Amino acid sequence: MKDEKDIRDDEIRIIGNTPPEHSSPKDRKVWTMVAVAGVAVALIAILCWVILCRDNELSSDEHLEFEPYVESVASEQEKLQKISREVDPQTRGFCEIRDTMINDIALRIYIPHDAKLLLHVGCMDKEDTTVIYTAQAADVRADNGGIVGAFVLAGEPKAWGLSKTGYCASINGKVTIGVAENSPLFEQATE
Amino acid sequence: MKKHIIISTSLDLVRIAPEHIIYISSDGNYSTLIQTDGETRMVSFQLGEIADMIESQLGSEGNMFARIGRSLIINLSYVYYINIPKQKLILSDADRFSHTVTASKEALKQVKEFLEKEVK
Repeated sequence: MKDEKDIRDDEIRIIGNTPPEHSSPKDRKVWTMVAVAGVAVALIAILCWVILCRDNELSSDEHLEFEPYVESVASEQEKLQKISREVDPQTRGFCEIRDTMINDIALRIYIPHDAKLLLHVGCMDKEDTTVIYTAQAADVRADNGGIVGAFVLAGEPKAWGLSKTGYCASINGKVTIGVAENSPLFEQATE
Repeated sequence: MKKHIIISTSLDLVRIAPEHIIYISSDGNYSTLIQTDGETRMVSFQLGEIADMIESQLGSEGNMFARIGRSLIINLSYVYYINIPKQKLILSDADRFSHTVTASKEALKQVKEFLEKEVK
């Protein structure tokens, strides 16, 4: 079945209408085994080639120089381009809004300054001036009001489950955002 | 044992006979099942994923369902009325329930042609 991107709004598709397979189950099994054997042979051949190439490099008379490895954590951070403006540390917390374009797509970026990330369940108080920015942290089910996916608040799990691979965590003041199939952050957040 | 459709997450599971689903609509990353008993059930799967589940679980019996564009899967057994100019499709058992949905004219035309072939 093609994914959602491939079906247009003016198209219909009868589900389950795939053409019947002509080959018998026995034939299919044989071809599957042949395909697996072929892939295995190809992998072994590639492995042998890699090993042989490596042996040739090591036996060469060329003098190889290795540059010393230097921890470059700081340089990695320098490579990240800062898009927020410079702010006086004495300034009260606020949210900077920056409109930009990336690959011709307009983006509005919200940049909190001198603020702490906190999770909150329920509606926010609009009169609370200590709040400089809010965003939805999880989807809420329309049928029973439950939180979709895994959700931990102040070390206490409120919901379990995995609906998407994206995550966001604020643990001991450190904010981590990312996408991963498996993340240890849920366990870290509940320790 | 009659086949059921099973939609399962790590938190919950929905098990429903195909004839009890009237249609399934898309809502971003979620889908809503509209059932013959009047219940609606939201599941955390995209419509394409639901269509794949129906196909893999029911096989050729899944052809009672049709994907209409990007946002609808309908149970063809309950197609009651199609009006192409008004882009109106009514799903009903002519007894207990009746639901009106909207689809593109071209899609409705294809549904109509498909159903007309049934009687030819």
